[in-house]
Formats: sequence, C-alpha cells, structure tokens
Amino acid sequence: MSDEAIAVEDLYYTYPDGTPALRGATFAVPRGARAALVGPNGAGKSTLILHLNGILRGQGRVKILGETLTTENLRAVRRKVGLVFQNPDDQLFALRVLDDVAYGPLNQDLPPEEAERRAREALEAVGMAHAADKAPHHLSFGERRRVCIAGLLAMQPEILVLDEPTANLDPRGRRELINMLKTLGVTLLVASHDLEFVLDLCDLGFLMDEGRIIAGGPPRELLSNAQLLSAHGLEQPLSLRLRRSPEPPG
Amino acid sequence: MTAFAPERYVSLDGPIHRLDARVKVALLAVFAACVVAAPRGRLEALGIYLGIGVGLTLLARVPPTVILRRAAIMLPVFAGVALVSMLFRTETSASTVPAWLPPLDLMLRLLAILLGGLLLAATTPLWRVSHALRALGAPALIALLFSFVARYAFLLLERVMALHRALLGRGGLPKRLGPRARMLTSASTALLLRAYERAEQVAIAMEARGWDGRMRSLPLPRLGGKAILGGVVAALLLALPCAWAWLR
Repeated sequence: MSDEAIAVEDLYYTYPDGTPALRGATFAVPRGARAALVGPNGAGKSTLILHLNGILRGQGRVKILGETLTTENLRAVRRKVGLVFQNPDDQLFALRVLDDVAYGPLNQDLPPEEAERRAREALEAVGMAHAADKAPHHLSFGERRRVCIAGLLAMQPEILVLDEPTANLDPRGRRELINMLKTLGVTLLVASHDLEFVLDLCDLGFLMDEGRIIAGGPPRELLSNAQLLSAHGLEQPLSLRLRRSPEPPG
Repeated sequence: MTAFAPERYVSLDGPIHRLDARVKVALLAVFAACVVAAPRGRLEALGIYLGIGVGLTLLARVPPTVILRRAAIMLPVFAGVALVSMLFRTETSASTVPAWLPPLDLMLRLLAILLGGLLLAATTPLWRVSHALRALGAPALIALLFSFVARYAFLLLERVMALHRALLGRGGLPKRLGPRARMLTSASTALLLRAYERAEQVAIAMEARGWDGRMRSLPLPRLGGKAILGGVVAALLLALPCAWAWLR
C-alpha cells in the first residue's frame, strides 16, 4: 500500500485556447496529511485540482493512493477523491439539502435507505443536520459550503480537495470551517490564498506559480520566507510578521 | 434569500399544505386539463375555475393578493398571446363569435392554470414537487429540468437584481431608446454568459460526484389509501364545472 495519497509527476496542461496552465507540476501528499497549495491568481491551483479526479486530463502522471489515474479506473478514483468547488452554488444543484448530500451515495449504487443514512450522518458531521429539509438558497454562504463538504463526506472519500474554502466566509464561518476540517480524519488538500487559514489547518504546504510547484515544506517554514513569497505574488501572513517584529519600547 | 413571495408561505400549516405533494401535483394536472377542456366561449365555467383557485388560496391561508399580484406579472404576456391568437383566427370562428371573446377566453384559461401553479408553489416545498413529479412517472428529463429551473431561477433572479442595483448605481438606464437598448442587451449577454459558465460548473460538479446519466432519488413514503381516495374525489369535483359547461 502506497504511503502517498496524492502523487503528481511532471504534469502539463494547456487550455483549448492555448493558455498553458500547468508546466511540469510535481508534488506528493502523504496519507492523512492536511496539505495546502498556495500561490497567486493564475498559478494553476484550480487546474491542478481538477486533475485529481480526472475532470481534466493533462500530460504527465497522477497517482491516487498508489494507483495511476486512467480512463478505466476513473469512476473508482472519483469515489476516493472528493472535490469541493469555490462557489457552493455550482455544487448544490438539488432543491433540498438532504437530496443533494445523498446524490453521491445514490450514484455509487447504494440502496436508497443506506444513501439516506450516510447523507444524514455526513450532515451531522458538518453540523448541518438541522438543515436536511431546507432549500440550499435558504442557507448562508458558510452553511452552503458545509453542505457541499457533507455531500462529499457521504461518499466516504479518502481524500478531500477544497478550492478556496474560506473565500466569502465571515470570521465565524471561517473558524467553524477550520474546526470542522480538523476533525474529519481524511487526507486534505486545500488550494487557498488565505495563508492564516493554511497556517492554522495544514501540516504541509506547497507554493505554486506559473503552473509549477516552486517549493514545499511545513507551512510555518514555507510562509516565513518573505522573499520567496514576495517573488511569487504573496505576502507573509500577519501572525508570522508580528512574531518576528521586535518588541515595542516601554 | 429568496425574493419569490409565494415560497414564503410553504411553512404555514393549512389543510392544503398538509396534503401529500403527489396528490397536489396530480390534482393540478387534473385542474389544468379541465380548464383546457372546458368548451370555448363558456366564460362562466372558467369563472368557476378561477373562483376555485381563489377559494383554495383562502383555504390555504395564503393571502390571495400575494398570488394575484404574482399572476398579474404574467397578464401582459397572456394578453400578447391572446392578441396573437386573435390575429390568426380562422374565418369560420370569426364569423360566429364576437371578436373579444376568444382572446378573453384564452387569457382566463391561462390565468386559472397559473393560479393553480402559484397555489402549489405557495403550499408545497419545491423539492416535494420535484419528488412528486418523479413518483407520478414524469419523464426523468422533465423532473431534472424542473429541479434545475427551480434551483437556479432564484440565483438568476438574485443576479438580475444585483445587475439592476449596479445599473442604478451608475446612473440608471439611459433615457434614449438606442443607448437603453444597447445597455439592456449588454446586461442580458452578461447574464447569459454567467448562466452558461454556471451550467458548465454544475456539469463538472455532477460528474465529480458520479453522474452517469441515470436519475436516482431517495425513497418516498407510501401514499395512504385515504390520500388516494381524497385525491380521486377532489379530481371528480374538479371535473364537474367542465362537464356542466359541456352539458348545458
């Protein structure tokens, strides 16, 4: 059994309009890790994420839990990798929260009763059990994002990939999301601009720019390198800057 | 949050609200069929159906003004349809009935069916309507389309309102017809493009969660004998005005 949940080797992808998005991206995430992909806009984070369950297929190799992603095992891989998109409204397409969360398990051909049980458990896990019968458009943005995560948890994936999970969340929603993600017990990969969030949640970080992985390591070390961050359009998180600044006199 | 007023009343607890959604959807189909089948030019029958719509709205404790105001939004469209139908009348029908009757007849029919639909929307959560459509054997594509339209209509409406606010923030629509048309065209194009982008994202999200072209849904509770019997009796009662108009 492979120790790596995700292994991407020399991945290239160019969009149909000719825009190169990935130019030899290589990185690996160990099983059980909470990893982050950080980088400026247009670095290729979202494109890379879409390769992890085969929505996009570039040149290079993508291995999920030791298995190289191919057309034949696409369906099996999608059961293992859950993707949470940036905008929850793109992901919540059912008219009722419970139906949306049960959508994945039903597509796994589980009996409807089992799919409903899993959906209710997943809603419980993200603290949204009370919203099972609500319409998605009656929920706050943060609640909708949690329902998206429940929709994937119900499929019992081994890897959860989130694109900009803290975008548009208020401080309370952000804190609740961090606390919830810490309890999930699956391998996590988050693409985010929110470096404080990365520091709080992740134990591994990768800096990405121009379609390549530039550096990787523990987030505290990676995000302490102000020069490196600045060279790639990012800014050191405030908490790290404050720690390094001298004590004020008196 | 939604700006669709009838939906605010679905959480009320009235006799219409308590009916099973499958019974309500089936009765709406019967109601619409009766309205369509009523003999042409028999306005009294159509009046009865409109009265039934308003009466059921009162019984459901939904303010009729809410339903009627929403229905009024569609009146210009119905009037347009009625006028077009008048223009394309055949000579035979033109010679036997007054000119105003067919368009009025058509408008009343459309209005009665719309009232029924709005009453359903005000007394039944949309997800129950979607489940009911599937349970009643509606083609999967129709049920899926209903679900998508109902889900994304609200988002589209929010987008339209945001765009409207943005236009107002920049001085509103120009007074002259040409620039006004250009601005509205450009806003509509932006909306259309956003809707297209969203459709692509939704397709990706569905694929990522195992969509293989087959519709699957959670089980529904069995429909009780009482509900079926009540539905059949109500359907027969709904058919009475139509039958009466034909027999008169």
